Amino acid sequence: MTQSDMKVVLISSDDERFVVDRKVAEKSLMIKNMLKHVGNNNNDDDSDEEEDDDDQNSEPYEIPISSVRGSVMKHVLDWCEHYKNVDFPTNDDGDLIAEHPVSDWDKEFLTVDQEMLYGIILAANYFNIKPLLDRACQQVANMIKGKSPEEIRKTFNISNDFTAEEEAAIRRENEWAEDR
Amino acid sequence: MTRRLVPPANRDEGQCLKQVALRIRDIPTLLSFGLASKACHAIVFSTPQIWIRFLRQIQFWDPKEFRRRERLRKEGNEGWGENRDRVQQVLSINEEMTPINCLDRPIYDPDLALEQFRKIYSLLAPILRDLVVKNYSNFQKLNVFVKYNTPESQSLLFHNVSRFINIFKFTSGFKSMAIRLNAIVEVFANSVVREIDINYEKRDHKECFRLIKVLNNLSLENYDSAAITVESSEKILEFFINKYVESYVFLTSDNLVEKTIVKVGHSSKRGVVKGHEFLFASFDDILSQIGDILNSQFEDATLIFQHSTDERLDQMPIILKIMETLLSSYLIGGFCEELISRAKEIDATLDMDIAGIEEPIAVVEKPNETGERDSLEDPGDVHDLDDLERLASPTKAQSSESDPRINVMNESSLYFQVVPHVYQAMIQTFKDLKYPQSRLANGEDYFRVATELINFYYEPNILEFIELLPRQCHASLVLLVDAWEGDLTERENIQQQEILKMVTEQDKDEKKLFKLDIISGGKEILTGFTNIFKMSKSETNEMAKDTRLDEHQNKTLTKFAANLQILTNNVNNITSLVSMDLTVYALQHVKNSFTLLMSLYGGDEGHTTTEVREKINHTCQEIYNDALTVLIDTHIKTGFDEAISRLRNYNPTELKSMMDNEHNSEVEPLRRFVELVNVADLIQQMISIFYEEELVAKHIVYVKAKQKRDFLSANKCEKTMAKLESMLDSYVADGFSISIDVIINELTYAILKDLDEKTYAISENDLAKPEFSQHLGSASSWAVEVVRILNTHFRLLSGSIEKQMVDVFRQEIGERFVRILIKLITKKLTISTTGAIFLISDLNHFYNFFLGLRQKTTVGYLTALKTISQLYLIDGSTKQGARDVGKLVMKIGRDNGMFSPEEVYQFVSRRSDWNTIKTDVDKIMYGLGIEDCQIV
Repeated sequence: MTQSDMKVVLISSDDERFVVDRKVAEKSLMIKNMLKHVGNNNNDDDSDEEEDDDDQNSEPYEIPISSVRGSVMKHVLDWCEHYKNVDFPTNDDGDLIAEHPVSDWDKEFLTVDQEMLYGIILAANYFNIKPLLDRACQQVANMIKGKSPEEIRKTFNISNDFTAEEEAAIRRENEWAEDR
Repeated sequence: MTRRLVPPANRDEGQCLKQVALRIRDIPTLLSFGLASKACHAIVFSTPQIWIRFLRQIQFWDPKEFRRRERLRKEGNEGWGENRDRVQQVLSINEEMTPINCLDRPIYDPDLALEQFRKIYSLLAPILRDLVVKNYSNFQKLNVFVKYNTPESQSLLFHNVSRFINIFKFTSGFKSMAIRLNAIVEVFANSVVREIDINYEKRDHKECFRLIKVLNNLSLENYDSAAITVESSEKILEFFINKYVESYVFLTSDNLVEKTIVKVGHSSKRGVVKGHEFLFASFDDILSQIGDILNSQFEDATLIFQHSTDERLDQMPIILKIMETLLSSYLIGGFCEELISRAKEIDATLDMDIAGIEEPIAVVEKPNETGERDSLEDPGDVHDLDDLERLASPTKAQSSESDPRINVMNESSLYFQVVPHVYQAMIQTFKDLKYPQSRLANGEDYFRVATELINFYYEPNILEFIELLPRQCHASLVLLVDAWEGDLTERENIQQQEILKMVTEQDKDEKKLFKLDIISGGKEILTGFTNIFKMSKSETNEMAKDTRLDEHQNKTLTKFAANLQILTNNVNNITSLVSMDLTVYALQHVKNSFTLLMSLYGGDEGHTTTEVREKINHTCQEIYNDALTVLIDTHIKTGFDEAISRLRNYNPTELKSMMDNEHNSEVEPLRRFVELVNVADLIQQMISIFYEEELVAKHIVYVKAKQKRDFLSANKCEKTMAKLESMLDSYVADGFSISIDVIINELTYAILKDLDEKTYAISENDLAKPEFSQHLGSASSWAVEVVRILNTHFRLLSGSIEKQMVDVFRQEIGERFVRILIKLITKKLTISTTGAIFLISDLNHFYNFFLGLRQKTTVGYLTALKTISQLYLIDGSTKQGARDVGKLVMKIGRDNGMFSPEEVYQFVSRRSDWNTIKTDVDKIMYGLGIEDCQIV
């Protein structure tokens, strides 16, 4: 069994089991790093091309993900499956080098209710899937573009914890950007 | 067995909002977001990445420096956030921050990002809004331009605003903002250009440069993402190009081509094609004009930019642009293209067309109305034989030597004159230009770039030329060989006709003396170019031939003698069947083609591209190879075939037997053939020398050191040369074998003429006769004649061909001669005891001759024959004598080894008294005679 056709089992917080190809799971940098460490525990970490793992490795790894629900996990893994053969190059800082244009598939993919969207953002952040995080957040940012603070609160379902004085003070502070 | 991996716990539940905030790309939304809650506020105002992102958009962030400091910090060195450094940075900015300098020094400290952004925004956003939103229609009246009233400060302001506008990239209305700002900057830039123009006309270089700097201030570093597309550097270039281009316009006028390729009508001048001549000098004049113009423009540009202190702002782009524009649209793209297409056009016109465009002043013979070619003497006639004729007549060749750029390859085509010259002249012109002192950014000099430009724009012409030249060379070679062959046939025909004509005339007008007027026609070719490769040998041949012809000229000929003369002429002409001079000429074709091609290398330093150079080399090889193939197939092969067939058909004995012996010495087929072989050998050497000198030494072919070459590594050219060599070898072998036949025939003829069966059957009484007594002890006349013939041929050979070959040849002749001798003795002659003395004398004569030549085998046979001849010496009139003969036969048969007893018996049977002694001899040999037989 080679690394590429090796399976990984991801278990969601609600105990749903997802069996996916290692390649798909490795879209998540977090999982990739984890597998790298256990896969070559007697080696330094740059020998990821190792093909002849010990025979005991026939059993797939099980990874419990306690912070992601099954429904979100399914969505995220769909994304990983779709992009499993695409490389998203990053620069030294780990930022994506090119902002990939949001494809129709992505648009369709991110057309979900807000709860799911936040779930995806959190999951993408947790799994460390930069391109997905980027796209999902961009989607949210677009949603609140040009909106007032009140509208933004509504969107995120957060309450205003400023006092009137505090708010006024901040508004004064923001005057540099006012259209004078 | 299940293996469970436990991932780290989710540490940061608040990431979601932060990640979203990072992707809010417009300021108002971001501020609204900050007002949503305390947490949101904290995210917005304490996440430097958000603000760095904006700073990056206006190129006010220095990521390199940031990373460098980060690295230092991680390595545990003093770190990068030292207070003093930070304070200094802020202070220096605080002191001077204005709309025109606020973007000058990008920062690298994340902690300063928000603060700096706020300041820049407060400075530039109002100005931008004034310009493109509030007062767009009369922006020029804005207060900000009162404050910043110099072109310099205004240009800096526009530069900053152009950068700053990117902040609004994701705000609605950005597009129209950008369009408006673009328009404003455009107006500003144009007004600066106008100012430059005014000052340029005033020759105020300093002011010009000041304004150029102003214009240059507008340039943005990153055009790809810039919203403002006014390219100021382009504007500067455009301005100068527009100024300078005016002076090139003359290159596109039609009559310029007419001045370079001029109508001259029919002319004998070399290089004139179809009544047109390419004036090299005129073209060079035009180029030198261009050179002068460029020099003055370079100087002009240098004067303007001499005030520059910024090394990024100099005349370099302008000079490059000038050269490119000139080359692409005027010199190569305009004039040269026109010139080349005109040259092609003329090349393609038919001869007849010239008559139509002929200028009336030019008094020349027009081509015959029948279209027939004028005689060779007409210099104006442009026809196929031109090449040949020109080389044939030395005077013409001399007059054409004036221009080395014209050679046999391009004299009949303007295209082939124009293309290489244009390239060479352009390279030379650009090499001689006075470029500014400054160097290009990558350290290359201007000339190098100029050659690249020339190569780029001229390359299609070069490639076409490279493709066409081999064809031209091939056609010209074939024409040459054909002309030569044709001329040869013609010459021989005329010779034959003349000889026969004389005979007929003689029949009519009895005994009239007349001269053998041999038309020497193409002979001039030979004298014409022996001067190329001075071969004394061929010259002597010429002279020898001439004297021989002279001798004949006063000779009265009978019809029969005329036939003989034609026949001898055929043999005499063998050497001219393969011409060294033609080879020289063919190689000259190749050499001239090389010259043309190599002029495309672009001068001594070779300025063309590697690809083109390789192509040229390859083409050179092709041409050489093709020339060889043409020579081999159409000339040498046919020549030798013809020579061999003539040798084969040559049978002088038939004719001569009816003539007196006078012509005997002139029958020299072998000598002729040996000369031919010599010529072929010289040709081969010439070809080989040419290969070494022109192809190997000039790096057209890359070969191993001479000693290391073998057939496995042989290239195409070497293979063809090897083919020639083996072909010549086999012809030489054939020729020799035929020559041997011819010589043997001659020998046989000489022998049979003087010899009959009775020659050695003389009786003792005959000895008293003077014709025998005088010759007693010396060789007889036939033997002398035979040795003379052999000697003539052998002498001829030694020194002219290889010693080994001579030996083989002598051996072969010797053996065949011995065979004739044996045949003569055993089948034809009857030999008496007295005749034996003469036979022995003759055999001794032959023996001494071959002994002198160190021909072992032949000498061996002759020794044996000498022994045999003793058989005839013994007087057989007595019984004892007969028995002695028998004993000797047995002894010779036993000891000699060369002849078997049966053969010896055959010899002895030629004794004139054989019938009388046979019984006794048999008795001795076999121990019994007929009388011993009894019928039982």
